[in-house]
Amino acid sequence: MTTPVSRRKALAMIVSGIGAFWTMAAATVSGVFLIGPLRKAGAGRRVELGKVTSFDSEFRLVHLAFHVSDGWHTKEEKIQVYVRLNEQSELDILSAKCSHLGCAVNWNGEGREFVCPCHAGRYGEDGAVKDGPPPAPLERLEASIEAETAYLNLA
Amino acid sequence: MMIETVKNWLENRTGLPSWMHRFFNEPIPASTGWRNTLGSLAGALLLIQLLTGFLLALYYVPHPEAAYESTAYVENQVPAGWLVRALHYWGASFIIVALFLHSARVFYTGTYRNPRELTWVVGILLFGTILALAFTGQYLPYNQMGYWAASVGIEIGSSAPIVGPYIGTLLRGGDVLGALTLSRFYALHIVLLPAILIALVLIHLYLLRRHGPARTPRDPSDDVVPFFPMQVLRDAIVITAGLGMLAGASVVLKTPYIAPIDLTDTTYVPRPEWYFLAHFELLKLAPPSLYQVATFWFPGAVITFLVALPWLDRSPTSAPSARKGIIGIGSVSLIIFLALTAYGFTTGGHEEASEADTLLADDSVDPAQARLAAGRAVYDEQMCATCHRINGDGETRGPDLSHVGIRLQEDYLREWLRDPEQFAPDTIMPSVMVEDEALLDALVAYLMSLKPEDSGD
Repeated sequence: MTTPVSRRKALAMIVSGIGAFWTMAAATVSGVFLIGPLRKAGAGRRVELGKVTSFDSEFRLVHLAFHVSDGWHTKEEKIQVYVRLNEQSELDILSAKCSHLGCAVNWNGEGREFVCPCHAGRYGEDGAVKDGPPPAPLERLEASIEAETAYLNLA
Repeated sequence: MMIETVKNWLENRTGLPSWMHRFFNEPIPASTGWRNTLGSLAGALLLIQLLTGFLLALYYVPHPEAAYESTAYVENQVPAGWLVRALHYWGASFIIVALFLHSARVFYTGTYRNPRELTWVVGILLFGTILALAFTGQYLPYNQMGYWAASVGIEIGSSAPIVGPYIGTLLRGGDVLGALTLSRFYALHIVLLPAILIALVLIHLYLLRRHGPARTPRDPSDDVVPFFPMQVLRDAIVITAGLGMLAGASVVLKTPYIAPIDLTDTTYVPRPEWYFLAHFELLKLAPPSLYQVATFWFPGAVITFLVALPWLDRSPTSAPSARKGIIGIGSVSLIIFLALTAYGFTTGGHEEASEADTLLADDSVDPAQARLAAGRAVYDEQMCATCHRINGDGETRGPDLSHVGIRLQEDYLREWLRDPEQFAPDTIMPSVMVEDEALLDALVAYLMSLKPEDSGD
């Protein structure tokens, strides 16, 4: 025969157990739902850059536009890159986005440098900082070549 | 002891521990039992609605171009999104069932009487708020059912004398149902109505605690027991049964697929949710001369009767034998209500009969031809042409499908349609959601038939 106190304790445990079960169930479903945005991070993307033969030893600005799915929404994203064929016949691809505050840099063919029109940041033709406020070189991007066509690999 | 110290600290600052102690040890009549658990069940279901509603609001966008898309995104792309949406969808029906049972219990036991008149009136307001939430929520996914429900519902509201037309315009945000209505229903559904609901629940609970559960006429004793443990355990068991059924319904039935708004689709048969079916049938029965009676005066009279019930019922005790008149009126009304609802279910078309279903079932044509025609109807219903093009018809956001029949293998195509993400994680192509497998087969058959004319097949 159990005492009334232990019966009360036992029932308290049962009720708490039921409460804990439903709380856990709700938390699990909510948790899985909420971590959705973490799931698909880092999926790579390929964007066609153009025929390799269309580039030469001088930097050329290429405007790229591609569709990115942003949740239920599909938006057009645009990036600009400078592309040239170097002495090893490989593509040098530099982002035109200044590492300082993101303005689009201009290529100055005579001075052999990239100049940012916003805060006078200057980069050499390898993208390294020559002068001004930029904290890092211009971002270098990789391309893969298939059937004479270059594709840009974006993160 | 550590716990004691924390408890004392909290007690001195807030008084919470002793409040909890009083809450759980509240003396209630010894005859309180299973019939008194239905309000708790409704409360638990409400908490599920608040939680799932918040989760859905993380993704939902109240814009005509985005409402359906963002809902489909939750359904198809967000992990457990289909489950959260189904819980919210079925939860609404479960709450309404729980409230029906709860109100019926209160009605038959006569516990709305003095001194609990206001508990009853607040309960009626709560029921009305829940129906308003169901009504506004149904419009948000911007599909056929929600559109027509809102259209008819606002029309019914507009039939009220004098102020009716103004109410209609205010609800719509203008003369037409559309973008402004969507914002309004969204604001009502996620801000105003939940706030009113929570306030009413708190008042309802305060009044319940103030008067305690009513003693039944069969229990004239003064015996009391504490709320905890037995009544809390009964509540927990009933809540577990209710939530278990809700989870089961959501997993098995999911949220029914309803096509996006297409005002040109005359094959769509608008039907209200089951809890409005009785009124729906009543509207069909009423002759034109009684239009306003059916839309406004009769429902208004029923609501007035329910609100006035505690004052109309002057019987000396709450025993059913002393309340034969009231119980008779209530029972007959309930039977009529249930009969009309049941009749509403049988009058066909409650399940959306799509053009594709009809074509597929048409045995007057060759089955292979019927399948292709049904497949084309699925293609139209799913609005594939908003992204794809066939022989010059449609948009070019997605691949041209004119010759898809020679480009893809049938099995691959079927799996792709079922879940494009398994092949292309970043694709904007949504999963094709159809009611049954035969329709997906029809769509595949139709797409596989798309070949260049000279391919000889």
